[in-house]
Amino acid sequence: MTTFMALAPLLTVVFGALVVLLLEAFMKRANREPLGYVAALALLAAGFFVIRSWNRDLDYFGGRLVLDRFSLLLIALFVILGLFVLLMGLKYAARQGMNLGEFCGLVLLAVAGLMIMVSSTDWLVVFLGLEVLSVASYALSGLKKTDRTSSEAAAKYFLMGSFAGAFFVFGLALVFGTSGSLDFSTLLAGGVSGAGLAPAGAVGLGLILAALSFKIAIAPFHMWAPDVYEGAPTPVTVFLTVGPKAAGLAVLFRLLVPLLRNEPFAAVFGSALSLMAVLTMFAGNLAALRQRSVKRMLAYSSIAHSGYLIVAVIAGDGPSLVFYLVVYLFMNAGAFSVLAAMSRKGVEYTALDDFAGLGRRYPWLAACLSVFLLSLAGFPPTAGFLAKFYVFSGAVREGHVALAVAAVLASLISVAYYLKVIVFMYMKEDQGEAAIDQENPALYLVIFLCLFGVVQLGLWPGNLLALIRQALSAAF
Amino acid sequence: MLELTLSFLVFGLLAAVMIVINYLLGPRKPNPAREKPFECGSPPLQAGIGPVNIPFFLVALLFLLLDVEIAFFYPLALAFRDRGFGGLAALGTFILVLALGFVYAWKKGIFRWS
Amino acid sequence: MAWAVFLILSFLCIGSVAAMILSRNQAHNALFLVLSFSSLGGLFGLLDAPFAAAVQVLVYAGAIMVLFLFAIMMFNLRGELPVRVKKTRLAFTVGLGTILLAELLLAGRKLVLGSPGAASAAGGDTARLGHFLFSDYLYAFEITSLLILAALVGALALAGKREGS
Repeated sequence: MTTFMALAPLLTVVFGALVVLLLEAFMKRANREPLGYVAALALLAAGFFVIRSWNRDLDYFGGRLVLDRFSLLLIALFVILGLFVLLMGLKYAARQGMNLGEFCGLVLLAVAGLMIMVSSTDWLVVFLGLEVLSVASYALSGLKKTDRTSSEAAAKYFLMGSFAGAFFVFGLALVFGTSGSLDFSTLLAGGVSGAGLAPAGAVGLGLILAALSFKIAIAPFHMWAPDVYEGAPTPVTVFLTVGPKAAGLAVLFRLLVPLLRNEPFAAVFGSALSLMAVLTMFAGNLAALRQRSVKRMLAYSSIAHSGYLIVAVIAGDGPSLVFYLVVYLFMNAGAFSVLAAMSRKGVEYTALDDFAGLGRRYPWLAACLSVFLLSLAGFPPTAGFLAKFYVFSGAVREGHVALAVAAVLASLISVAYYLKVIVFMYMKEDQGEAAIDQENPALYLVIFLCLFGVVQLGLWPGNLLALIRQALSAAF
Repeated sequence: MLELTLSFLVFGLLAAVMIVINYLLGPRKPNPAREKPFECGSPPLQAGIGPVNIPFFLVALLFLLLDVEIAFFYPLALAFRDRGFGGLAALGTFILVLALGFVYAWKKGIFRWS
Repeated sequence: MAWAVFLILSFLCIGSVAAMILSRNQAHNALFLVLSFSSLGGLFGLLDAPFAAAVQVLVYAGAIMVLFLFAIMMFNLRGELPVRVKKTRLAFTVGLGTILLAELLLAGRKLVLGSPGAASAAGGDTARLGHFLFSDYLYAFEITSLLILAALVGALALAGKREGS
C-alpha cells in the first residue's frame, strides 16, 4: 500500500533529532538529562509506528521506501539499540565530559541513517543512508573531546570511512552505467537470467561489496575497527558494533541471496565471501587472544562475530541471520554496558587487571558480565549458543560444511579469551582499588534488559523465531 | 559543444589580453613597497602559510555545506513551475531541515569571534 | 576540435593530480588540486553536462578547496614533509594498484570500444535534472538535507568550542 504513513518511523526520528538539537542549543540549564528523555521518547514513538505498520507492506516514493516485514524487524532492532545507547549515555556523558545534547541528536540521526539503509532497494538511497549513518558515527566516536584516543578514533574512522564511501560511489557509477538503473532488482535480473553482468558492472558490484564489508568490519577491511571501537566512548562503541553491522548485513542479504542462487556468481562471489568469512573469524579471534584491555578484546570479538554473521548470509539463511543479530544486540550491549559501569568521573576501567577480583567486590556486575561473555562464547543455556547453533546448522544444511567446521573451530578459540576474563574476575586477587560510581539507574536498567534478553532467548526462543520466520517467509 | 569551446577560448583569451594590456599600458614607478608581492594582510617573507583560527574553519565548513545545498536549487528552480504544491512541499522540507540546522549552528556560536 | 580540448583538459587533469601527489608542499598540493578540479569541470562540460561542470567548479574548486586551505593552515605544518618510503609497502601498493588498473581496463574495454551503455541515453539538460529530482530522486534529495544536517552537527561537535569557553 502506498501511503505517506510509510515515512512515519523515519520522520519521527528525524523530528526528534531536530527537537533535541534545538533544545540543546537554546537550553541554559547545566543538567542535560531531559534531552535524553526527549530522544528516547522519539525512539519509542518510532517503535510504535513500526508496530502499527507490521503486516501492512507500506511503501512510498514509488517503491524507493519499502516497509516490508524484513525491514520492519531490523528497524525495530535499531530502535531498541538506540534506546540502549541513549540510556547508557545518560550518566556516562556527564562523567566523561561529553555533551549529552550532541550525543542524543547524533544517535538519532545515525538511527535515521540505519532505517533509510534497510528500508530501500535503491542503491542511491542505500548509499545516502549509509553516509548519514557514517557522518553521524564519525562525530559520535570523537565526542569525548578531552580524550586523545577518542579523537584519534574519530579521525581514523573518518579517513577510512570516506575512502570506503568513495569506493561505494565509484562502484555505483559503474553499476548505473552498465545497467541504467539504480535498483537492486535490475542488477539481479541481469544476473539471474543467466545473461550475466557486464564486466564493468561486476567490478562495480565488487567495489560496492568492498565498501559494505568495510562498514561491517570484515577482514581484510577490518583494520580500522579495533582502534575505533576502543577509542570511542563506550555507549557509542555499542552502537558502532551493532548498528552498521546489522544494516550492512541486511543490505548484503537482500543483494546477495538472489545472486548466490545463480551458478556463475556463486562461483566467484560465493567463494570470495567464504574466504573473507573464514579470515574474519580467525583474525578477530586470534587477535583477541592477545589483548590486555577488555574493551579492545571485545572489539576484536565483534569482528569475529561479523564472520559468523557472514556465514548466515552465504547460506542464505535469513531467519538465523536476524535471530543472531537480535541476540548479538543483547549480549554485546550487555557486555559493553558492564564495561561502561566500570567507571567513575573521568576514569574508565577497561584493563584486564582492573577486572581482577571483581567477583568479590561487585558480585552482581561480575555475574552479569559472566553471563554475557558465556553467551558471546556460545555456551548452551544462553541465547548465544542457540544463535550460533542455528547459523552453523543452516550452513551445513545448505552444503557449506567446511565453512561450518571453520566457524566452530574459530568459536572454540574464542572460548579461551572470554573465559580468561571470567577467571580474572573470580580467581585473581584484586591489586588496585578500582572504585566505581554506582549511581546510574539507567545503565543498570540496560544491563538488566540485556540479561533478560540473553536468558529469555536462550531458554524460550520460540516466539521470536516464529515471528522472524513469518516475516521472512513472504520476502525471500 | 562549439559554444562551450568558444566560451572557453574567448574568456581565456580575454584574461590573457587584459594581463598583457596592463603590462603594456600601466605606468611603472618602482619603489621598494611596490616591489613586494601583494598578499592580503600577511607579510611577504614568511615560511609557508600562517596558522588560522578554528572559527575561520567552521565558517568555511558552513559555507561548503550551504554551497552544496544551493547547488541543488538551480535545477530545481527550472522544474519548479510544473510541480505545484508537491514541489513546494518537497523544497520546503529540504529548506526547513537545513534552516533548523543553520539556527542550531548559529546558536552554538559558529559566528562568535573570540 | 572536441578531441583537442579533451586531450588538453585530460592531460591537465591527470598531470595536476600527479603533481599534487609528488609535491611535498601542502599549499602547492591544494592548488594543484584546484587545477585538476577545474579541468575535470571542463571535461564535464565537454560531455554536455553543464550543470555538473558548474557544480564541479563552484563546489569542488571553490568551496572544498577553501576548506582544504583552511585545514592546512589550521594544522600549521612548518616546512615540507619528509619523504618516507618503505620499499615493501611501495611494492605492495604498486602491485595492488596495477591489478586494480588492469581490472578496470578489462572492464572498461567493452564499454569504450563497444556500443554505448544503457545510461548514456539519460543525459540531458538541467531542467530535466530538476524534474528527476522532483520525481524519481525526491527521496534521495530529501535525505541529502539530512546528510548535510548530520555533517553540520558532527563538525560542530568535533571542531566547535568547548562548553563554557
